[in-house]
Order: sequence, then C-alpha cells, then structure tokens
Amino acid sequence: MIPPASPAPAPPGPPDGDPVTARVGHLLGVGTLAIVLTVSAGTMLVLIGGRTPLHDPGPRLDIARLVEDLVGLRPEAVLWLGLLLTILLPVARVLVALLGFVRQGDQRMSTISVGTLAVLGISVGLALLTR
Amino acid sequence: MLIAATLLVAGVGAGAFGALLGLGGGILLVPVLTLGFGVDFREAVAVSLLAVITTSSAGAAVYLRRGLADLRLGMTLELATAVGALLGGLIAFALDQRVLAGAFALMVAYVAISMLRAGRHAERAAAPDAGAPVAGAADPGAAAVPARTADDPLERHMRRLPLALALSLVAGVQSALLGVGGGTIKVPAMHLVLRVPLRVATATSNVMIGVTASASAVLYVLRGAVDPYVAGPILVGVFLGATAASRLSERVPLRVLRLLFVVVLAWVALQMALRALGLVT
Repeated sequence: MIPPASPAPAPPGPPDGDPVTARVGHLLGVGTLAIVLTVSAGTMLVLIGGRTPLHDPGPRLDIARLVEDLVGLRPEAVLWLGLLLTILLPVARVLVALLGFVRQGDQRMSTISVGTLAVLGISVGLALLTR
Repeated sequence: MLIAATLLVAGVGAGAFGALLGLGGGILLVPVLTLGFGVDFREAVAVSLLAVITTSSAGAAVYLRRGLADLRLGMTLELATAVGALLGGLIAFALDQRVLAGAFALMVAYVAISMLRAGRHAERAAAPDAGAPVAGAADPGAAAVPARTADDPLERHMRRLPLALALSLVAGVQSALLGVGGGTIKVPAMHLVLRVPLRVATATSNVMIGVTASASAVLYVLRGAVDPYVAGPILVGVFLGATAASRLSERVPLRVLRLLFVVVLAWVALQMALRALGLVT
C-alpha cells in the first residue's frame, strides 16, 4: 500500500523560480479560461438556436469550413472552436516548454519535447488519414 | 434546454465527486453518459477525454505555479503516455464495445477495492486523475518539487526510468481506451518506481494528462466520435464541479463520501460487467 506523503511546508513557487515552469503554468491557466468561456458561449448559442443535445445529432467537425463558419458566427463553429482549443492547449504547452528548454540550452528536455510533438503530429496525421 | 441542463448537472456531479476524492471526472463520466444517457461507449470516452484535459489543465496551472509538480519529469514520462494513448486510440476503434465495457468494469472494481483497503489514507492512496486542483495544491502536507540537483528523481533513479516509462505507456493506453487520466498507473509508477513524493507524483500525473488525452482525443474527434452538443455542457459542468469541489473539500466529510463512492463504483462495475457479458444493452 502506498504510504502517506511526508509532511513538508508548501513552497511559494516553481523550483528555483524556473521560468519554463512558470510560463507553462500561466499558459495553462489562461488557456483553460479561454476554453471554458468559448465552450460555454458555443453551448449557449446552440441552445438558443433550438438544438437539443441527444435528440439532435451534432455536426461533425469540418476543418475546411471552420473559419468561414466562425466568421458567420454559426453556433456549432463556436462550440467546435472551444473543443479544438481543448485539444490544442496541451500542444501549445509542449511548444512553450520547448522554446524555454531551447533557450536554456537543455538538450535532453528539448529532444523529449520534440519527440512528444512528433507523437501528437503522428496522431493528427493518422486521424486524418483514417477518418 | 432541459436535457442540456441535465447534462450540465451530471458533469458538475462527476467533476465534484471526482475532485473531492482525488479521482478524475472520467471514472464517473463514462458510466454516467453510457448508463445514464445511453451514449455510445466510444463517444462517452471521447467526451470524457475532453473533460479531463480541461480540468487537469486547470489543476496543472495551480500545481506548476506552486511548485508542486515536476514539469521535466512529467514531460519525460508523457512521451511514453502519448505513445500509449496513440496506440490506445487506434485500438479503441478496433475493439468491440463490450470488451471496452469489460475493461472499464475491471478498472472501476480495482479502484473501488483500492479505496476500501486504503482506509483513512484513501484520498491520498487512490491515484488521482484530473480534478481537485486547488484542494491538492493547498494541502499543507504537500511535498515540494526538488530543485534540479542530485535530488532530481530523473538523475537519482535513471536505472529505473525504463520501467517508469513502460508503465506510463500502459497508462496512456488505459487513458485512451477508457477515457480516464491514467493516474491509477502513473502515480504508483512515479511514487514507487522513481521514489517521487506522493503529492509531487499526484500533481505531476495531473500535468501529464493533457498531452496524453490530446494524443487520443484528436483521433476520436477527427473520426467523428464526438457529438459537440453533448460534449459542450458536460465539459463546462465538469469544470464547474471540480472547481467548486476544490473550494469545499475541507468542509465535506470525506469518510462518508468515500464509502458512498465505493458503493457507486461497485454498482458501476456490476453494470459495466453485465454490459460486457451482453446481459444488458
């Protein structure tokens, strides 16, 4: 069984004031807020438009038309934008960390970050190829 | 409007319940959507993945700012979880939904038994997924992330890193197949294999969820397995529930809540097992 954590006072911030950790933390905080606000707005617009979840099937994501639909303020496009932001936030987090690691000259973490981005890229590629 | 409100409330409940007990919303969301609303299992997993990305991102922001999560360790292990999630996302579309329901039943039963056995330390021992960000971060007993010195777990336990990476890969597969954060595997991998303090392992696991879930969520989204009308209210509800719970955690009798949760999990495991055996639809 896992033992309880040893007590220690909570530190005031990232270890050694690490700027990469601080920047990533800030991005995640702002990004989450943006996601929740966008998804909330999209959901409200869909409901005002008279759509009913579970009764009316939602449209599939059409990336080619997303920008056009967003300009036209289509409720589904706003909702999809929020859901896409959800997936993109972790990707942005890795990118921000990668830039920080490169600036710090941390080769190991830079390589790992590039590897993670490559896996995410493969995932998108496979999804597009096999949809 | 009523159905949307019901989905929102279900999301709030799953998010709050999960956050109070240090478990992600996923372990409750998938059964709520499949058993409660009749949503397809694969679609429920996809919606759950989007919800855990949101709550874990909120939690990770707090953990990182307070120095409770180890970003470098998390990013090292999440390379393996992302590969696992990619594989899991591909496997999920090849497997029969009854097999997925059976796997979910086994995972829920394991978590329920773990919570029972953990006794008064259950909220620490039950490996967390997303959620409970502020509650965990505000815990005065939390251990700090060591500075990048000889205390760095990556440096101290380099020989054990392959095992931790292998376990992380399995956690990624689990996350993609079942729509959970994978904390039930990642936290023990860090705490027991790399000797990372439990609270740091918990917080670091939370940081890893976003990339892990994204790697498979993109497969579900682009293959049309997500209904945005269902995902919208659920995602907002889970976020609100987890946020509210993190502020209420100190006022809630966790022992009673834990017992109730074990009963709920046992019921979920039974229902999912029946579904896997084809005894209910």
